[in-house]
Amino acid sequence: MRLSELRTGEKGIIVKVTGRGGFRKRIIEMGFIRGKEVEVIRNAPLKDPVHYRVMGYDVSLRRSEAALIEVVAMDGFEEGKAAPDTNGRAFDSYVTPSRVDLRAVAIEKGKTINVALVGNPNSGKTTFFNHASGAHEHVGNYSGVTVEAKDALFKQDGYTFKIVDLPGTYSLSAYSPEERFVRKHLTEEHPDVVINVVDASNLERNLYLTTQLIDMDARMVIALNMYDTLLKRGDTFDYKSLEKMIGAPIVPVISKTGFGIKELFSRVIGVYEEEDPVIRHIHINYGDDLEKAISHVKASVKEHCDLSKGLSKRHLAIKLLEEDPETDIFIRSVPGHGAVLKVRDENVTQIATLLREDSETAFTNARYGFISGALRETFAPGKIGSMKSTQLIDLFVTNKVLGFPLFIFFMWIMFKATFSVGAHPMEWIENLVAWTGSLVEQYMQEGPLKDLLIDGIIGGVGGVIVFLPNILILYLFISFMEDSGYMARAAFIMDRIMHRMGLHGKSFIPLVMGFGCNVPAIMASRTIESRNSRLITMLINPLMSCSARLPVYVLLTGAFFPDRAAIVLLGLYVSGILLAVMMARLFKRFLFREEDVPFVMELPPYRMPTFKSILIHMWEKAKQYLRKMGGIILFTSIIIWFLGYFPLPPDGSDPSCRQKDSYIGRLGQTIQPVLQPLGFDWKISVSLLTGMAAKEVVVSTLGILYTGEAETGAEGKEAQKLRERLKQDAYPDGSPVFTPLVALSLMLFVLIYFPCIATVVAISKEAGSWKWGLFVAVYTCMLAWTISFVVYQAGSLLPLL
Amino acid sequence: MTYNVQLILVAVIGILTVACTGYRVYRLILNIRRGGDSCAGCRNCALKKRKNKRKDCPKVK
Ligand SMILES: Nc1nc2c(ncn2[C@@H]2O[C@H](COP(=O)(O)OP(=O)(O)OP(=O)(O)O)[C@@H](O)[C@H]2O)c(=O)[nH]1
Ligand SMILES: [Mg+2]
Repeated sequence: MRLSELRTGEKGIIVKVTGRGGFRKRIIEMGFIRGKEVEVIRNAPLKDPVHYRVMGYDVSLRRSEAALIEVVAMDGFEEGKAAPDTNGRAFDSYVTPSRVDLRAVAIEKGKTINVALVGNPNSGKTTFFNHASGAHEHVGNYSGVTVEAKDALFKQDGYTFKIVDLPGTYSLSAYSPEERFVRKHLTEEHPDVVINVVDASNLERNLYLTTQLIDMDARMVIALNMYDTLLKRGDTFDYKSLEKMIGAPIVPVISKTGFGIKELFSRVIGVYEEEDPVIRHIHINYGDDLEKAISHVKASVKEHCDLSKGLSKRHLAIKLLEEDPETDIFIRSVPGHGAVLKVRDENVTQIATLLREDSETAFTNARYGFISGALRETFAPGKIGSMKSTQLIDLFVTNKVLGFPLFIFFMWIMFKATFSVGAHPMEWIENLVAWTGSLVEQYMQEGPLKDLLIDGIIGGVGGVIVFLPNILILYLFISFMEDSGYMARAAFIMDRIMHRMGLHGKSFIPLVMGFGCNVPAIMASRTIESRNSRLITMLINPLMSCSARLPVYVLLTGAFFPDRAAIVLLGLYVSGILLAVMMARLFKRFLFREEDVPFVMELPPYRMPTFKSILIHMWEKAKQYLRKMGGIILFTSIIIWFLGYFPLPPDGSDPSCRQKDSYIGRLGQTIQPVLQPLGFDWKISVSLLTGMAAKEVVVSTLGILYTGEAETGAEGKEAQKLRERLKQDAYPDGSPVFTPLVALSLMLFVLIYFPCIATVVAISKEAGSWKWGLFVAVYTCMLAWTISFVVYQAGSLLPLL
Repeated sequence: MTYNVQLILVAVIGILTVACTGYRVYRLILNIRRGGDSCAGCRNCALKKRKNKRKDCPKVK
């Protein structure tokens, strides 16, 4: 609770004082110390200032300043004393905790430190976060992996750390959404200590953000991450001198292995408790001209605007001179801003004439000047160029001629492995499922429960679970590509092509993430600045074939194209990409017209992914998949079985018609006319309908609907694999339901039509309106129908398959 | 197990499934209603059964 929230007469015990250094120091010196009692003398709503009594004397604070002090309330304490109960015992002794308890609570609470991780993209913040807190957030060797704040708790040395992982930013100006996001977090959440994660192999650029944090007067500890690369390159870095120079502790860390993390957090405690010998607030010297301008603006702010003491005037002046849009909005909301803006404008023009560059550039240059000055004294690059291997690989991988074929080749290997290597473990699971089925078959009496178990649950869930190995292999490749740094190269290669087709370059990463799952991919599109590009990226993302569609493909290619599986899989994925590009062009043409924003993609050095990190990633995916089996797949399987089992047929009716006459049969036959031109019978139609919940459900529904056939006889019907059962199914006239052409048409339809419900919800949410979710649902279904129609009809005319 | 016992068990499973699915859909709707720009969409609210107390969510700013 904030001190400002206490009402007149209430008391509280101070937990901690947040806010920036100078202000905080003064407040603490005034007696606002952890564990001390504070009483509100007068707090009139909407009126500043508020009067408090602390350590026996009266202090007045602004509401905005009081909001920076955290307290625990002692409400009811005084009233309790005034109203003793019938036994004469003080009311409060068992209704409210005693003063001593409260103080203990306050002190305990004060031992919770809010920490925010701030740093450049790809500097290893999430790796650090995962190692410190034991979380398993997504890590990848490219910029823009993390798009939202993630928090976790952990303990060390009696303190609890609430640590927040933030998206990476190059600076704290307010250009891109992630910059605004991080800035907002820092100014509104007031983390007690900021951990600035710095990539030691790229100090100059990474320290730029550090200078901005210094300007903001954030209490900070610098994590010198990737210290291993620094050592390997033979660089020497006297960080001990640098930390004294900039007034913030620097701790070498290797977050991949956890080296240095413990020490770093003990420094964090030191900074939090104001015990660290290094920490002090420094002013970066911007040179005479700029410093003069800063002091003019600062003086004018002090003179004309009545601002909270919690705000650094110097930082405000710098931001004003940089003509930072958000600061402009802020200052315009303050009375007396006219005079300040006038002084600002005068100084900005003066800087421009004196330095022959606009003031923002002047500040940027001055910051870089400060950094290179500091590094000149402390840093000596080593002789060994470790970038060599990266450059060598890139010579081929991003080559104009070779790059694209290599990319296709890697993709082909990925699908080949997914299919062929996955086939063996898949068979083991298949056998296990079949064995379970036959066990139930043997030992259970006939009845509806037995049918539910065998046909519904084992047929449905068992039909999907067998694809676990394939999905894990796919993720193995994806996570290897992400962690090694190849993904950024793929984006680079594709960027040229995508640009020519009118798509924003930054869209590539969310699109690639869509191969895993569309939902996080849609969230990842947050990094795209322009709203239109972002919307287009979200709208076409469902065309990226997510891993939930893989079971359908593996089932059908295994049954109908066993020899050409990898090519067919690759073809499907590529069709998805091509369609996405086509749709993007259409949308751009007819829905959103807009200029391209230039896009710079950083190409990080290649890194060998650790075995452990890949294993963890796959384990997470396996858990996710199994959870899905126990959740949505199980539920839909049971419901579909019910709909296929009831109503119970009248005695003596033909058992082979049973399924056809069931609820689901009737439903399927109602929608089948729409899908018949694509070559689908009613069972396929039903599967597609239920597959809207999640695409694996297409397979589980097929599994359920294809167990009920009576002709195979009671024993041994489970022993048959689903793909065999599909191949055997025939229309009454004897012609097979499934031909390779139907399978192809079906796979294309599954690729394109209605993304799962979760994706539609994600799009609606991120786009801010239900209309977009609905739009995606409608356009994908129409597109799917058209494509499958063309393929099926053309294929029937020209019998190639 | 006799036919009737099985029938009863199947009915129970059916009701449970429908109830669970219904609850999930309800949670989904709650989560969507809670959505908007300030919601991180972390499903925390739904998982922790916070009902409509959106302001309790640490991620809603
Ligand atoms: N050699 C080395 N590599 C590291 C270290 N820490 C992280 N990495 C690698 O750096 C890459 C980036 O890590 P992330 O944790 O995703 O970086 P991030 O800062 O969260 O990136 P964004 O979320 O995009 O801002 C990954 O490939 C990590 O394996 C380290 O101490 N040494
Ligand atoms: Mg990250």
